[in-house]
This record gives sequence, structure tokens and C-alpha cells, in this order.
Amino acid sequence: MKRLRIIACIVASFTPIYCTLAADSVAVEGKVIETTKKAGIGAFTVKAYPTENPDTSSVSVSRDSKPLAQTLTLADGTYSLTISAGVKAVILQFEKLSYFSVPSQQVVTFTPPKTTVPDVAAVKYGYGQIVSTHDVLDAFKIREASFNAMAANLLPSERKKFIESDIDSLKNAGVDSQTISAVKAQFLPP
Amino acid sequence: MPSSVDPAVKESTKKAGQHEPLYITEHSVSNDFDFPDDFQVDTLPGMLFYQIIDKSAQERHVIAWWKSREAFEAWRKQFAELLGTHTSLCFEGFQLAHRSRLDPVGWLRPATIVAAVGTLALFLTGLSTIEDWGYSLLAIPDCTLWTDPEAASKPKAVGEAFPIQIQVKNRHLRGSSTASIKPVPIGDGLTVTDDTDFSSVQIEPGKAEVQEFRFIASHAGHYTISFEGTQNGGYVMPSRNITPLRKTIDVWDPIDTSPQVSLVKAIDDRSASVSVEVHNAKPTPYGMTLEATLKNPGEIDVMPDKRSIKDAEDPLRNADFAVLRWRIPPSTDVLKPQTFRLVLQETGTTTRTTDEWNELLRRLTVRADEADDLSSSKQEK
Repeated sequence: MKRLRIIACIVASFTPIYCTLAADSVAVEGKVIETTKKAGIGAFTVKAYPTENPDTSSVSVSRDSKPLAQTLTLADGTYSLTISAGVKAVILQFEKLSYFSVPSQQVVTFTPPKTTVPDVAAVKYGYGQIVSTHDVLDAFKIREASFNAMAANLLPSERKKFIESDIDSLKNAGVDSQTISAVKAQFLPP
Repeated sequence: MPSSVDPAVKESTKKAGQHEPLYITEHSVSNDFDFPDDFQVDTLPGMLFYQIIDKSAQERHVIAWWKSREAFEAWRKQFAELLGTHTSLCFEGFQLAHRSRLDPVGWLRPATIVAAVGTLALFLTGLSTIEDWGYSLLAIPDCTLWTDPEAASKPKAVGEAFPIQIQVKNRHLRGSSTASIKPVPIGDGLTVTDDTDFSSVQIEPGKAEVQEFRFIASHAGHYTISFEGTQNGGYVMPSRNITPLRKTIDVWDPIDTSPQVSLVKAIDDRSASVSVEVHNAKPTPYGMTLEATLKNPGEIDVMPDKRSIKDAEDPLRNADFAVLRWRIPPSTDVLKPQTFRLVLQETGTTTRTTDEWNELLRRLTVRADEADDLSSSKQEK
């Protein structure tokens, strides 16, 4: 009985420490889905870079920047990054050779203690080939499905904001204007 | 008076002595001696010629040529009286025919040489023509194919036409041959370009002719080409197949997006050195990004070998994958392999043999791409 009491005391003394540490960091979670298989894809590198302006839609990361944190997606495409709670927002960048991700970068504003990021769509391409408009549209369908799953009651204005952010990401990646127009026509009606 | 025998007299005596040698006598006479004006050679029958020569200012000789010694003896007394009281016989004897020494090469006059050579050439040409005619009818063709192994072993680029020169050698030393060569690519993806000349070639005896074939490959890989054909020798001989020549060529993509990996060595039972060989057929002005992914890594990290990889990101690992990304500097080298080294490092307690490391390499894939000048994410190349 005395032994149980000692254990209880130890657990009780560690619990506040653990809670303090947990409060000092934010988990960012999400999933990368391959557009053709509509399934998660592993070994995608997810990097979190600091950003000063979380509202900007035009994100860019310097090549020499060091990520705050980085991880790999598991075989099911899921990932989880732990970021210090002092950081309000990060730019998430998704990298895997031979894959083009939609979006390739996105700004994530934290909502402690856990922030879930909409699914990212990965389009496979070959060297010297252009990512087809069809594949990009498929990627936006995956994004739309993810938005719907995360927040079924997402306001149209909020949804529009996300899509505009994704379209900006396409522009930054150099996607041709016809593909962007096709995405706008289908996912951003006037 | 002449001081030696007149050449005309010499010539006459030579002719006269052709059948039987003449008998010559030489007499010393007074230095003012001369034959009487009415003296004629037939005054003394048996004497054929005579001549007075001055040996010196005080010494005069008479040389006489007689039909025979007997003729001289018969008229010796009368001749001595004719020569006067101061005469004395200095010399007597037969005239020997002068035999010129044989010149061993004297007959080798230019004209003779030219004539001899010409005759010989004509003779040999005649023989050769007859032989050639025989070979042109009956020669068995004996051609072989050869190509420069060094040139053929150089890698080629996908989509770019490249030549392969085939040397057709006629091993027959007398008969010319005609060969018709045709390349037969084995497998898909390799075609002969339209500008390739397939016409047959004539090869002189003992000589070789080079025929060039141009190819273009649609994708990277190893291709085998069999150069085959027929050869003809003499007109009446049937054509024969030439022993085929097989060549394997290596065709590279502009950018090698899937470099091959191989185990260099097991450094110890907890780490292994792995080689990554990149085969690019075009320059990479912005360098390249490479990504090595190990599935089911357990507790193995994929690490850079700092001696060959200078710009690597931090290795990443989760339960399913271990990944290392690194960049390589710009390169203007084309069709030359670039080799990099990775280290597979076991961080746990598992130990592995070389075979086990090789088995593990099946789970290691390397992808490569041109580095972008601005960011690593790109939509198109």
C-alpha cells in the first residue's frame, strides 16, 4: 500500500511537467495522397519553415532557409510535425522527387494543441513531361474532399480563401495559365 | 713523223690479223731515215703494212707487219738493206689479237634494264591477269566484320542519332569480294535512321572497307545489335553469310532519374558503403537533387559519405522509410558516369553480413532530378 502511494506521488509530480511541455508545442498533422491511386503516399518530406506573415497568400521559402522541423510521411501518407508553441504559423513544404504536390507550399496557422492540415495531393510526373491539367484538377478534387471532411460547414468565403491559396501555389510553381484557368473555372466559380 | 702507230694502220692490221696472226717487226733506223719515194708495200712480197714513227728527236723506228714469220725471214735481208746501214732489229713477234677485258656489268645499259623490267612486268602482268581472272571466277569469299570496341562501348544519348562504323575486311589475298551488311537491332526502341546507306561494298583483296550505320534509341537501356550480311567472291561461287558481329551498346537518358545503386563494401557488420552511379547524357547547369529512400529501414539511417556528398540534408527516418536528400553541383560532363557514396548505418544492435547488406539494397531506391535554380518544387521541366 505504501508502495502504491509512492507511485501515485511520482505520477502526480510528473503530470504537471508533461502538461507544461505539451502546452509548449503544437502538433501539425496531415496526409499526402497520390492522385492516381487516391491513397496515401509515403516518404514525402514535409518541412516546416518559419513565416513572419501568416496572412500572405504568396509564400516562398529561400533555398538556404533551415526548416524548423521536418518529417517523412508514413506508408499511409500521414505525417505529424511538432512545432514550438511560440510560433504562430509556418510554411509547410512537401517534397518528393518525381512528384508535384498540390499545394507545394502552404501557410498553416496554428490552433493549439493540434492543427490538422487539409490533405495534400501528389501528382506523379516523368522527366521532361508536363503535369497535365487533368491531374491538377484531380488534385483539387482531393483537396476539396479534404476540406469537406475537415469542416463540412465551412463557409464559402473560407473555402474560397483556401482555394485561392492553392491556386497561388500553382502560380508560384510555374503551372501554365490554361491549367490555372481550368482550376478556377471548376473550383472557384464567380 | 707520228710518235705512235696511226689508228688507221692499227685498225687495218687488226682486220688483216683476224684469221691468222700477223708477224710484226720493229727496226731502229737513223733519225733521218725515210723510204724511197717509189717504195711501195708490194715491193717486198709478204709485207702488208709499214709505218715510221719517231720515238724521240734522235730515235726513229720502222714497224712492219708481215703475212707470216716466214715471209719476214724470206725478205729480211732485202728489208734490212732498204733500211740502211744503221738499222737494227729491236723487236719481232706475232701480233696478238687484243682481247678487251670482259666488263661484268657492261651489258647493263639503261635501255637493257628498261627492256628487261618491261618484259618481266609484262610477263608477270600476264600471269597475274590470268590468275586474277581465275580468282574472279572461283575465289571463295572470306570477309569478317569488326568495330572499334572503344568507340562502340561509349554510351549514347537517347533521341540522338549515333553512328557505329563497321569494318568489313576481305581476308582473301587475291580475290575481291562484295559484302552487303545489315544491322539487326535486338529488342525494341532502337531503330536505324533513314539516312543510313545500305548499299553493298566492294572490298579489294586483303583490304578493308568501313560502312557506317546510324541509329537512334527511343529510351535508355542496353541494346544489342547484330550486324549480319552476305558476301560474294568469285562469279561462279555462291554467296555466303558473314559471321555476325554482335555489339551491345549503352544508351543513357538526358537525365538519369533512376541511378543504379550497388554495394561497395560492408564497412563493418553495422555499416555498409553504397555506390550511386548517375548516368547523364546532358549537362546539368543547376546541378541535381538526389533522393535515396530505404523502405522498412528498421534502425538504419541513410547517411552521406562526406567525401563524395558535400551538400546533404539531414537524414530522415520513420517506421516505414529512411530518406536522404542531397544536391550535386552543376556539371558540364555528358555521357560520363558520376559516382557518389552513401553509408547505410545501423543505429541499433542488428548486425549484417555482406549478403544481408546486398539483400537490404533491394529496398533502397534512388531518384534524381535536375535541381531547379529557384526552388526544388517544380511543375514542369
